[in-house]
Amino acid sequence: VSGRVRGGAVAAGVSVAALWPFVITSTTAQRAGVQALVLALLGLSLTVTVGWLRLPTLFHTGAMALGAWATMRVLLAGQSVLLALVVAAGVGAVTGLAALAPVWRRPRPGLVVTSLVLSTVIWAVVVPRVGARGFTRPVIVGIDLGSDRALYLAALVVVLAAAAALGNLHRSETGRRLITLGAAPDLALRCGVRPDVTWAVGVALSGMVAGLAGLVAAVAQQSMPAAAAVSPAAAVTALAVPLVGGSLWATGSLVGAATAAVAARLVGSPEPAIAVQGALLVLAVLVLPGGLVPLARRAAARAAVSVRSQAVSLSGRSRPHARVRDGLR
Amino acid sequence: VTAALLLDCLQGPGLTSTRAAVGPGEWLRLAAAQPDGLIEAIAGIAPATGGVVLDGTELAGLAADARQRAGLATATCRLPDLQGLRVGDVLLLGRSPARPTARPPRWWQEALGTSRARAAQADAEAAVRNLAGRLGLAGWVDRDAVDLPPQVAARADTLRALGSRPRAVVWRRPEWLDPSVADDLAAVIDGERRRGGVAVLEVVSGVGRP
Repeated sequence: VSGRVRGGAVAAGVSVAALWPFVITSTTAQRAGVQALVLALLGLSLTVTVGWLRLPTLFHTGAMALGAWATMRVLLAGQSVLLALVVAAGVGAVTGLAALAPVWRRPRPGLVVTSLVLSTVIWAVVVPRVGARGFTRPVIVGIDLGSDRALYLAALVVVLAAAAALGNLHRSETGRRLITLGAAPDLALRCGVRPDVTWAVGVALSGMVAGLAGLVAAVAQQSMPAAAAVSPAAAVTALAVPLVGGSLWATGSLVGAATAAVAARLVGSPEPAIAVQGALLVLAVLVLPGGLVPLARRAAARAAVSVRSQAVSLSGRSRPHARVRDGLR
Repeated sequence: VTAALLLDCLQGPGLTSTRAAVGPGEWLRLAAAQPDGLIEAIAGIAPATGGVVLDGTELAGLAADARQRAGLATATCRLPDLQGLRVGDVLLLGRSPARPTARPPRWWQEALGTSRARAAQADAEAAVRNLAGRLGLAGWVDRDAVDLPPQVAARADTLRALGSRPRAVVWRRPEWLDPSVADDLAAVIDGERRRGGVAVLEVVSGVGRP
Protein backbone atom coordinates (compact mmCIF):
# COMPACT_ATOMS: atom_id res chain seq x y z
CA VAL A 1 0.00 0.00 0.00
CA SER A 2 2.78 2.45 0.92
CA GLY A 3 4.47 1.84 -2.45
CA ARG A 4 1.25 2.62 -4.30
CA VAL A 5 0.62 5.72 -2.20
CA ARG A 6 4.16 6.94 -2.83
CA GLY A 7 3.90 6.21 -6.56
CA GLY A 8 0.55 7.97 -6.75
CA ALA A 9 1.87 11.03 -4.91
CA VAL A 10 4.91 11.24 -7.21
CA ALA A 11 2.73 10.82 -10.33
CA ALA A 12 0.35 13.53 -9.11
CA GLY A 13 3.24 15.89 -8.36
CA VAL A 14 4.86 15.33 -11.76
CA SER A 15 1.51 15.83 -13.52
CA VAL A 16 0.89 19.12 -11.75
CA ALA A 17 4.45 20.31 -12.46
CA ALA A 18 4.11 19.42 -16.16
CA LEU A 19 0.59 20.72 -16.74
CA TRP A 20 0.36 24.03 -14.86
CA PRO A 21 2.17 26.06 -17.58
CA PHE A 22 -0.68 25.13 -19.94
CA VAL A 23 -3.21 26.54 -17.45
CA ILE A 24 -1.28 29.56 -16.18
CA THR A 25 0.08 31.15 -19.33
CA SER A 26 1.63 34.21 -17.68
CA THR A 27 5.23 34.64 -18.84
CA THR A 28 6.22 35.91 -15.38
CA ALA A 29 4.87 32.77 -13.73
CA GLN A 30 6.62 30.51 -16.23
CA ARG A 31 9.94 32.31 -15.70
CA ALA A 32 9.46 31.94 -11.96
CA GLY A 33 8.85 28.25 -12.61
CA VAL A 34 12.21 27.97 -14.37
CA GLN A 35 13.89 29.73 -11.43
CA ALA A 36 12.21 27.25 -9.08
CA LEU A 37 13.62 24.39 -11.17
CA VAL A 38 17.12 25.91 -10.92
CA LEU A 39 16.58 26.01 -7.17
CA ALA A 40 15.40 22.38 -7.25
CA LEU A 41 18.63 21.35 -8.98
CA LEU A 42 20.66 23.22 -6.35
CA GLY A 43 18.59 21.44 -3.70
CA LEU A 44 19.25 18.05 -5.33
CA SER A 45 22.97 18.74 -5.33
CA LEU A 46 22.73 19.62 -1.63
CA THR A 47 20.86 16.38 -0.97
CA VAL A 48 24.07 14.46 -1.62
CA THR A 49 26.38 16.55 0.56
CA VAL A 50 24.13 17.99 3.27
CA GLY A 51 21.63 15.13 3.40
CA TRP A 52 23.59 11.96 2.72
CA LEU A 53 27.15 12.89 3.68
CA ARG A 54 26.08 15.42 6.34
CA LEU A 55 28.77 17.77 5.09
CA PRO A 56 27.61 21.40 5.12
CA THR A 57 29.00 22.73 1.84
CA LEU A 58 28.73 26.06 0.07
CA PHE A 59 30.45 25.44 -3.26
CA HIS A 60 27.19 24.89 -5.13
CA THR A 61 26.69 28.43 -6.33
CA GLY A 62 30.31 28.46 -7.51
CA ALA A 63 29.74 25.21 -9.43
CA MET A 64 26.53 26.70 -10.80
CA ALA A 65 28.34 29.86 -11.97
CA LEU A 66 31.08 27.87 -13.70
CA GLY A 67 28.48 25.52 -15.21
CA ALA A 68 26.67 28.55 -16.61
CA TRP A 69 29.92 29.97 -17.95
CA ALA A 70 30.79 26.64 -19.61
CA THR A 71 27.29 26.50 -21.14
CA MET A 72 27.69 30.02 -22.50
CA ARG A 73 31.05 29.15 -24.08
CA VAL A 74 29.79 25.93 -25.64
CA LEU A 75 26.63 27.51 -27.07
CA LEU A 76 28.51 30.59 -28.32
CA ALA A 77 30.87 28.20 -30.12
CA GLY A 78 27.84 26.86 -31.98
CA GLN A 79 27.89 23.46 -30.28
CA SER A 80 24.78 21.51 -29.21
CA VAL A 81 23.07 21.91 -25.86
CA LEU A 82 23.69 18.19 -25.16
CA LEU A 83 27.44 18.84 -25.26
CA ALA A 84 26.86 21.84 -23.00
CA LEU A 85 25.03 19.53 -20.59
CA VAL A 86 28.01 17.17 -20.36
CA VAL A 87 30.53 20.00 -20.06
CA ALA A 88 28.49 21.86 -17.40
CA ALA A 89 28.15 18.68 -15.32
CA GLY A 90 31.88 17.99 -15.66
CA VAL A 91 32.84 21.55 -14.70
CA GLY A 92 30.53 21.30 -11.67
CA ALA A 93 32.14 18.02 -10.58
CA VAL A 94 35.64 19.50 -10.89
CA THR A 95 34.54 22.53 -8.84
CA GLY A 96 33.30 20.26 -6.07
CA LEU A 97 36.51 18.25 -6.09
CA ALA A 98 38.55 21.47 -5.99
CA ALA A 99 36.72 22.46 -2.80
CA LEU A 100 37.35 19.00 -1.32
CA ALA A 101 41.02 18.71 -2.33
CA PRO A 102 42.57 20.75 0.53
CA VAL A 103 40.65 18.77 3.17
CA TRP A 104 40.12 15.45 1.42
CA ARG A 105 41.39 13.38 4.35
CA ARG A 106 39.20 15.09 6.94
CA PRO A 107 36.49 17.18 5.26
CA ARG A 108 34.43 17.70 8.40
CA PRO A 109 34.32 20.64 9.21
CA GLY A 110 37.03 22.03 6.89
CA LEU A 111 34.92 21.67 3.73
CA VAL A 112 32.61 24.45 4.93
CA VAL A 113 35.52 26.87 4.90
CA THR A 114 37.15 25.70 1.64
CA SER A 115 33.83 25.64 -0.20
CA LEU A 116 32.92 29.11 1.08
CA VAL A 117 36.30 30.45 0.00
CA LEU A 118 35.99 28.82 -3.42
CA SER A 119 32.47 30.09 -4.08
CA THR A 120 33.47 33.57 -2.89
CA VAL A 121 36.48 33.63 -5.21
CA ILE A 122 34.34 32.45 -8.15
CA TRP A 123 31.66 35.04 -7.39
CA ALA A 124 33.98 37.98 -6.65
CA VAL A 125 36.88 37.32 -9.02
CA VAL A 126 35.97 34.88 -11.77
CA VAL A 127 32.37 35.81 -12.65
CA PRO A 128 33.01 39.58 -13.17
CA ARG A 129 35.97 38.80 -15.46
CA VAL A 130 34.55 36.12 -17.74
CA GLY A 131 32.44 38.68 -19.58
CA ALA A 132 28.80 37.76 -20.00
CA ARG A 133 27.75 37.56 -23.65
CA GLY A 134 24.23 37.00 -24.85
CA PHE A 135 23.20 34.08 -27.03
CA THR A 136 19.95 32.86 -28.51
CA ARG A 137 18.19 29.98 -26.82
CA PRO A 138 19.09 26.70 -28.50
CA VAL A 139 16.97 24.05 -30.16
CA ILE A 140 17.09 20.62 -28.54
CA VAL A 141 15.88 17.53 -30.43
CA GLY A 142 13.70 19.71 -32.60
CA ILE A 143 12.17 21.66 -29.72
CA ASP A 144 12.84 25.39 -29.78
CA LEU A 145 13.57 26.59 -26.26
CA GLY A 146 12.75 30.15 -27.31
CA SER A 147 9.40 30.12 -25.51
CA ASP A 148 9.32 30.18 -21.73
CA ARG A 149 6.96 27.22 -21.57
CA ALA A 150 9.23 25.03 -23.73
CA LEU A 151 12.21 26.04 -21.62
CA TYR A 152 10.30 25.24 -18.43
CA LEU A 153 9.33 21.77 -19.71
CA ALA A 154 12.89 21.02 -20.87
CA ALA A 155 14.23 22.14 -17.48
CA LEU A 156 11.61 19.97 -15.79
CA VAL A 157 12.93 16.95 -17.73
CA VAL A 158 16.47 17.73 -16.52
CA VAL A 159 15.26 18.04 -12.91
CA LEU A 160 13.25 14.82 -13.03
CA ALA A 161 16.15 12.94 -14.62
CA ALA A 162 18.51 14.20 -11.91
CA ALA A 163 15.98 13.29 -9.20
CA ALA A 164 15.50 9.80 -10.68
CA ALA A 165 19.27 9.27 -10.81
CA LEU A 166 19.63 10.28 -7.17
CA GLY A 167 16.68 8.04 -6.28
CA ASN A 168 18.41 5.10 -7.99
CA LEU A 169 21.62 5.90 -6.15
CA HIS A 170 19.81 6.10 -2.82
CA ARG A 171 18.76 2.45 -3.24
CA SER A 172 22.19 1.31 -4.43
CA GLU A 173 25.48 0.33 -2.82
CA THR A 174 26.88 3.79 -3.50
CA GLY A 175 23.95 5.47 -1.74
CA ARG A 176 24.22 3.14 1.24
CA ARG A 177 27.91 3.93 1.57
CA LEU A 178 27.35 7.70 1.31
CA ILE A 179 24.55 7.72 3.88
CA THR A 180 26.36 5.44 6.32
CA LEU A 181 29.55 7.47 6.09
CA GLY A 182 27.53 10.58 6.86
CA ALA A 183 25.44 9.19 9.69
CA ALA A 184 27.83 6.71 11.32
CA PRO A 185 31.46 7.04 10.18
CA ASP A 186 32.70 4.31 12.54
CA LEU A 187 30.14 1.82 11.24
CA ALA A 188 31.05 2.77 7.67
CA LEU A 189 34.71 2.02 8.38
CA ARG A 190 33.78 -1.32 9.93
CA CYS A 191 31.84 -2.07 6.72
CA GLY A 192 34.90 -1.45 4.55
CA VAL A 193 33.79 1.92 3.18
CA ARG A 194 36.79 3.93 1.92
CA PRO A 195 36.05 7.43 3.24
CA ASP A 196 38.28 9.39 0.85
CA VAL A 197 36.82 7.74 -2.26
CA THR A 198 33.27 7.99 -0.95
CA TRP A 199 33.61 11.67 -0.10
CA ALA A 200 35.06 12.36 -3.54
CA VAL A 201 32.22 10.50 -5.29
CA GLY A 202 29.60 12.35 -3.24
CA VAL A 203 31.11 15.79 -3.76
CA ALA A 204 31.63 15.18 -7.49
CA LEU A 205 28.02 14.01 -7.87
CA SER A 206 26.81 17.05 -6.00
CA GLY A 207 28.91 19.35 -8.17
CA MET A 208 27.60 17.73 -11.36
CA VAL A 209 24.01 18.51 -10.40
CA ALA A 210 24.97 22.07 -9.41
CA GLY A 211 26.63 22.43 -12.82
CA LEU A 212 23.36 21.42 -14.45
CA ALA A 213 21.63 24.15 -12.43
CA GLY A 214 24.10 26.56 -14.05
CA LEU A 215 23.17 25.24 -17.50
CA VAL A 216 19.46 25.80 -16.95
CA ALA A 217 20.09 29.24 -15.44
CA ALA A 218 22.32 30.26 -18.37
CA VAL A 219 19.85 29.10 -21.01
CA ALA A 220 17.02 30.88 -19.18
CA GLN A 221 18.98 34.15 -18.92
CA GLN A 222 20.55 33.69 -22.38
CA SER A 223 23.77 34.75 -20.65
CA MET A 224 25.45 34.38 -17.28
CA PRO A 225 23.01 34.42 -14.33
CA ALA A 226 22.89 37.54 -12.18
CA ALA A 227 25.74 37.87 -9.68
CA ALA A 228 23.29 37.78 -6.74
CA ALA A 229 22.08 34.33 -7.83
CA VAL A 230 25.58 32.82 -7.54
CA SER A 231 26.74 34.70 -4.45
CA PRO A 232 27.86 32.97 -1.24
CA ALA A 233 24.71 34.37 0.41
CA ALA A 234 22.63 32.50 -2.15
CA ALA A 235 24.61 29.34 -1.30
CA VAL A 236 23.63 29.68 2.37
CA THR A 237 19.96 30.34 1.71
CA ALA A 238 19.77 27.50 -0.84
CA LEU A 239 20.25 25.18 2.14
CA ALA A 240 16.59 25.88 2.89
CA VAL A 241 15.49 23.81 -0.12
CA PRO A 242 16.60 20.37 1.08
CA LEU A 243 16.01 21.24 4.75
CA VAL A 244 12.37 22.24 4.20
CA GLY A 245 11.55 19.24 2.04
CA GLY A 246 13.73 16.61 3.70
CA SER A 247 17.45 16.49 3.02
CA LEU A 248 17.77 12.72 2.69
CA TRP A 249 15.40 12.23 -0.22
CA ALA A 250 15.48 13.61 -3.75
CA THR A 251 11.75 14.28 -3.49
CA GLY A 252 12.52 16.46 -0.46
CA SER A 253 14.43 18.94 -2.61
CA LEU A 254 11.62 19.03 -5.17
CA VAL A 255 9.09 19.70 -2.43
CA GLY A 256 11.42 22.31 -0.89
CA ALA A 257 11.84 24.15 -4.19
CA ALA A 258 8.08 24.10 -4.81
CA THR A 259 7.50 25.44 -1.28
CA ALA A 260 10.02 28.24 -1.86
CA ALA A 261 8.34 29.16 -5.17
CA VAL A 262 4.83 29.17 -3.67
CA ALA A 263 6.03 31.14 -0.62
CA ALA A 264 7.65 33.72 -2.90
CA ARG A 265 4.39 34.09 -4.85
CA LEU A 266 2.44 34.49 -1.61
CA VAL A 267 4.65 37.36 -0.46
CA GLY A 268 4.49 38.96 -3.88
CA SER A 269 8.01 38.22 -5.05
CA PRO A 270 8.24 37.27 -8.73
CA GLU A 271 10.73 34.48 -8.09
CA PRO A 272 12.06 32.46 -5.12
CA ALA A 273 14.09 35.31 -3.67
CA ILE A 274 16.93 34.95 -1.23
CA ALA A 275 14.94 36.59 1.59
CA VAL A 276 12.13 34.05 1.23
CA GLN A 277 14.60 31.17 1.25
CA GLY A 278 16.29 32.63 4.32
CA ALA A 279 12.97 32.77 6.15
CA LEU A 280 12.24 29.18 5.11
CA LEU A 281 15.69 28.13 6.33
CA VAL A 282 14.91 29.52 9.79
CA LEU A 283 11.48 27.86 9.77
CA ALA A 284 12.97 24.53 8.68
CA VAL A 285 15.52 24.56 11.48
CA LEU A 286 13.05 25.66 14.16
CA VAL A 287 9.79 23.96 13.17
CA LEU A 288 10.54 21.18 10.71
CA PRO A 289 13.51 19.12 11.86
CA GLY A 290 13.72 16.42 9.19
CA GLY A 291 11.56 18.21 6.63
CA LEU A 292 8.15 17.77 5.00
CA VAL A 293 8.78 14.44 3.25
CA PRO A 294 9.62 12.48 6.44
CA LEU A 295 6.59 14.14 8.06
CA ALA A 296 4.39 12.86 5.23
CA ARG A 297 6.00 9.41 5.40
CA ARG A 298 5.27 9.15 9.12
CA ALA A 299 1.68 10.33 8.59
CA ALA A 300 1.19 7.79 5.79
CA ALA A 301 2.62 5.00 7.96
CA ARG A 302 0.31 5.94 10.83
CA ALA A 303 -2.68 6.02 8.46
CA ALA A 304 -1.76 2.61 7.05
CA VAL A 305 -1.53 1.11 10.55
CA SER A 306 -4.87 2.66 11.47
CA VAL A 307 -6.57 1.34 8.31
CA ARG A 308 -5.09 -2.12 8.85
CA SER A 309 -6.22 -2.30 12.49
CA GLN A 310 -9.74 -1.15 11.52
CA ALA A 311 -9.87 -3.81 8.81
CA VAL A 312 -8.80 -6.48 11.31
CA SER A 313 -11.40 -5.38 13.88
CA LEU A 314 -14.16 -5.26 11.22
CA SER A 315 -13.32 -8.78 10.06
CA GLY A 316 -13.69 -9.99 13.66
CA ARG A 317 -10.24 -11.52 13.79
CA SER A 318 -8.10 -11.30 16.88
CA ARG A 319 -5.08 -9.04 16.87
CA PRO A 320 -1.87 -10.52 15.43
CA HIS A 321 0.07 -10.53 18.71
CA ALA A 322 -2.88 -12.21 20.44
CA ARG A 323 -2.82 -14.95 17.79
CA VAL A 324 0.89 -15.48 18.39
CA ARG A 325 0.27 -15.72 22.13
CA ASP A 326 -2.54 -18.25 21.57
CA GLY A 327 -0.25 -20.24 19.31
CA LEU A 328 2.47 -20.35 21.95
CA ARG A 329 0.02 -21.81 24.45
CA VAL B 1 51.82 -18.26 13.07
CA THR B 2 49.05 -20.85 12.79
CA ALA B 3 46.24 -18.80 14.32
CA ALA B 4 43.70 -17.25 11.98
CA LEU B 5 43.42 -14.26 14.29
CA LEU B 6 46.18 -13.26 16.65
CA LEU B 7 46.15 -10.35 19.09
CA ASP B 8 49.70 -9.64 20.12
CA CYS B 9 49.98 -7.39 23.18
CA LEU B 10 47.18 -5.18 21.86
CA GLN B 11 46.96 -2.13 24.05
CA GLY B 12 45.17 1.18 23.84
CA PRO B 13 43.84 4.01 25.99
CA GLY B 14 42.05 2.36 28.91
CA LEU B 15 42.88 -1.13 27.66
CA THR B 16 45.18 -3.60 29.35
CA SER B 17 47.57 -5.51 27.15
CA THR B 18 45.64 -8.31 25.44
CA ARG B 19 47.00 -11.48 23.91
CA ALA B 20 44.79 -14.05 22.19
CA ALA B 21 45.06 -16.57 19.37
CA VAL B 22 42.12 -18.11 17.53
CA GLY B 23 42.69 -20.87 15.00
CA PRO B 24 40.69 -21.32 11.78
CA GLY B 25 37.22 -22.63 12.65
CA GLU B 26 37.80 -22.10 16.38
CA TRP B 27 35.70 -20.15 18.87
CA LEU B 28 37.38 -18.28 21.69
CA ARG B 29 35.61 -16.36 24.42
CA LEU B 30 37.60 -13.44 25.77
CA ALA B 31 36.63 -11.43 28.84
CA ALA B 32 37.63 -7.78 28.74
CA ALA B 33 37.13 -4.91 31.14
CA GLN B 34 36.18 -2.69 28.19
CA PRO B 35 34.78 -4.96 25.47
CA ASP B 36 33.70 -2.14 23.16
CA GLY B 37 37.08 -0.43 23.46
CA LEU B 38 38.85 -3.67 22.67
CA ILE B 39 36.70 -4.26 19.58
CA GLU B 40 37.34 -0.71 18.38
CA ALA B 41 41.09 -1.28 18.83
CA ILE B 42 40.94 -4.54 16.86
CA ALA B 43 38.85 -2.91 14.15
CA GLY B 44 41.32 -0.05 13.87
CA ILE B 45 38.86 2.64 14.87
CA ALA B 46 40.49 3.44 18.22
CA PRO B 47 44.25 4.05 18.46
CA ALA B 48 46.18 1.05 19.76
CA THR B 49 49.63 -0.43 19.93
CA GLY B 50 50.56 -4.05 19.45
CA GLY B 51 49.72 -6.48 16.70
CA VAL B 52 46.54 -7.72 15.03
CA VAL B 53 47.43 -10.56 12.67
CA LEU B 54 44.89 -12.16 10.34
CA ASP B 55 46.00 -15.33 8.53
CA GLY B 56 49.61 -14.26 8.87
CA THR B 57 48.98 -10.71 7.60
CA GLU B 58 49.72 -7.88 9.99
CA LEU B 59 46.73 -5.53 10.11
CA ALA B 60 48.07 -3.09 12.69
CA GLY B 61 49.26 -0.61 10.08
CA LEU B 62 46.03 -0.73 8.08
CA ALA B 63 43.07 1.62 8.32
CA ALA B 64 39.77 0.26 9.61
CA ASP B 65 38.19 -0.06 6.17
CA ALA B 66 41.23 -1.94 4.84
CA ARG B 67 41.04 -4.37 7.77
CA GLN B 68 37.44 -5.19 6.88
CA ARG B 69 38.37 -5.75 3.25
CA ALA B 70 41.21 -8.02 4.41
CA GLY B 71 38.60 -10.34 5.97
CA LEU B 72 38.12 -9.08 9.53
CA ALA B 73 34.55 -8.43 10.62
CA THR B 74 33.53 -6.82 13.89
CA ALA B 75 30.05 -6.71 15.39
CA THR B 76 29.20 -4.70 18.49
CA CYS B 77 25.52 -5.74 18.38
CA ARG B 78 24.53 -2.08 18.50
CA LEU B 79 23.47 0.16 15.65
CA PRO B 80 23.25 3.95 15.46
CA ASP B 81 20.19 5.51 13.86
CA LEU B 82 20.58 5.45 10.09
CA GLN B 83 17.90 7.80 8.81
CA GLY B 84 17.27 7.19 5.12
CA LEU B 85 18.24 3.52 5.19
CA ARG B 86 16.12 0.42 5.76
CA VAL B 87 17.14 -2.45 8.00
CA GLY B 88 17.69 -4.40 4.76
CA ASP B 89 20.18 -1.74 3.65
CA VAL B 90 22.10 -2.21 6.91
CA LEU B 91 22.36 -5.94 6.22
CA LEU B 92 23.70 -5.13 2.76
CA LEU B 93 26.44 -2.83 4.07
CA GLY B 94 29.83 -4.27 3.29
CA ARG B 95 28.27 -7.44 1.94
CA SER B 96 30.53 -9.45 -0.33
CA PRO B 97 28.79 -10.80 -3.42
CA ALA B 98 28.10 -14.53 -3.57
CA ARG B 99 29.96 -14.64 -6.89
CA PRO B 100 33.16 -12.62 -6.40
CA THR B 101 33.94 -12.89 -10.11
CA ALA B 102 30.88 -10.82 -11.01
CA ARG B 103 32.01 -7.21 -11.44
CA PRO B 104 29.91 -4.92 -9.25
CA PRO B 105 28.18 -2.07 -11.09
CA ARG B 106 29.85 1.34 -11.13
CA TRP B 107 28.17 4.32 -9.45
CA TRP B 108 27.10 5.81 -12.76
CA GLN B 109 25.48 2.52 -13.75
CA GLU B 110 23.60 2.58 -10.45
CA ALA B 111 22.54 6.18 -11.07
CA LEU B 112 21.29 5.38 -14.57
CA GLY B 113 19.62 2.17 -13.37
CA THR B 114 21.26 0.00 -16.04
CA SER B 115 20.32 -3.67 -16.37
CA ARG B 116 23.54 -4.71 -14.63
CA ALA B 117 22.82 -2.41 -11.69
CA ARG B 118 19.24 -3.64 -11.42
CA ALA B 119 20.35 -7.28 -11.55
CA ALA B 120 22.98 -6.70 -8.84
CA GLN B 121 20.39 -4.93 -6.69
CA ALA B 122 17.88 -7.77 -7.14
CA ASP B 123 20.54 -10.37 -6.25
CA ALA B 124 21.53 -8.48 -3.12
CA GLU B 125 17.91 -7.96 -2.10
CA ALA B 126 17.09 -11.65 -2.49
CA ALA B 127 20.17 -12.69 -0.52
CA VAL B 128 19.39 -10.30 2.28
CA ARG B 129 15.75 -11.42 2.57
CA ASN B 130 16.92 -15.03 2.70
CA LEU B 131 19.45 -14.21 5.42
CA ALA B 132 16.99 -12.10 7.40
CA GLY B 133 14.35 -14.80 7.24
CA ARG B 134 16.68 -17.27 8.92
CA LEU B 135 17.14 -15.03 11.94
CA GLY B 136 13.64 -13.68 12.42
CA LEU B 137 14.27 -10.32 10.76
CA ALA B 138 12.05 -10.86 7.72
CA GLY B 139 9.43 -8.46 9.04
CA TRP B 140 12.04 -5.78 9.65
CA VAL B 141 13.82 -5.69 6.30
CA ASP B 142 11.73 -2.81 4.90
CA ARG B 143 11.52 -0.79 8.12
CA ASP B 144 13.56 2.38 8.58
CA ALA B 145 16.80 1.74 10.48
CA VAL B 146 15.83 4.22 13.16
CA ASP B 147 14.88 3.61 16.80
CA LEU B 148 15.32 -0.13 16.41
CA PRO B 149 14.62 -2.34 19.43
CA PRO B 150 17.93 -3.55 20.93
CA GLN B 151 17.34 -7.18 19.98
CA VAL B 152 16.67 -6.19 16.34
CA ALA B 153 19.79 -4.00 16.28
CA ALA B 154 21.86 -6.88 17.69
CA ARG B 155 20.56 -9.30 15.07
CA ALA B 156 21.04 -6.80 12.24
CA ASP B 157 24.60 -5.92 13.24
CA THR B 158 25.57 -9.59 13.57
CA LEU B 159 24.07 -10.48 10.20
CA ARG B 160 25.78 -7.46 8.64
CA ALA B 161 29.15 -8.67 9.90
CA LEU B 162 28.56 -12.21 8.63
CA GLY B 163 27.40 -10.88 5.25
CA SER B 164 30.94 -9.75 4.40
CA ARG B 165 32.04 -13.44 4.36
CA PRO B 166 34.87 -12.77 6.80
CA ARG B 167 37.77 -15.03 7.74
CA ALA B 168 37.52 -13.91 11.36
CA VAL B 169 34.66 -12.38 13.33
CA VAL B 170 35.07 -10.40 16.51
CA TRP B 171 31.65 -10.50 18.13
CA ARG B 172 30.47 -8.62 21.19
CA ARG B 173 28.01 -10.85 23.03
CA PRO B 174 24.90 -8.72 23.70
CA GLU B 175 24.82 -9.31 27.44
CA TRP B 176 22.29 -6.51 27.87
CA LEU B 177 19.66 -8.61 26.08
CA ASP B 178 17.71 -11.70 27.03
CA PRO B 179 20.21 -14.63 27.04
CA SER B 180 18.04 -16.53 24.56
CA VAL B 181 18.59 -13.78 21.95
CA ALA B 182 22.35 -13.92 22.46
CA ASP B 183 22.24 -17.72 22.22
CA ASP B 184 20.28 -17.50 18.94
CA LEU B 185 22.91 -15.19 17.51
CA ALA B 186 25.72 -17.39 18.79
CA ALA B 187 24.09 -20.37 17.04
CA VAL B 188 24.01 -18.49 13.72
CA ILE B 189 27.67 -17.49 14.06
CA ASP B 190 28.53 -21.04 15.06
CA GLY B 191 26.87 -22.27 11.88
CA GLU B 192 29.10 -19.98 9.83
CA ARG B 193 32.12 -21.16 11.81
CA ARG B 194 31.39 -24.81 11.09
CA ARG B 195 30.50 -24.20 7.46
CA GLY B 196 33.21 -21.79 6.43
CA GLY B 197 35.96 -22.30 8.99
CA VAL B 198 35.54 -18.75 10.29
CA ALA B 199 37.56 -17.90 13.40
CA VAL B 200 35.32 -16.40 16.08
CA LEU B 201 36.49 -14.21 18.93
CA GLU B 202 33.61 -13.61 21.32
CA VAL B 203 34.17 -10.67 23.64
CA VAL B 204 32.29 -10.43 26.91
CA SER B 205 32.53 -7.93 29.72
CA GLY B 206 34.44 -8.56 32.91
CA VAL B 207 37.89 -9.84 33.71
CA GLY B 208 38.54 -13.37 34.83
CA ARG B 209 35.32 -14.86 33.52
CA PRO B 210 35.63 -18.17 31.68
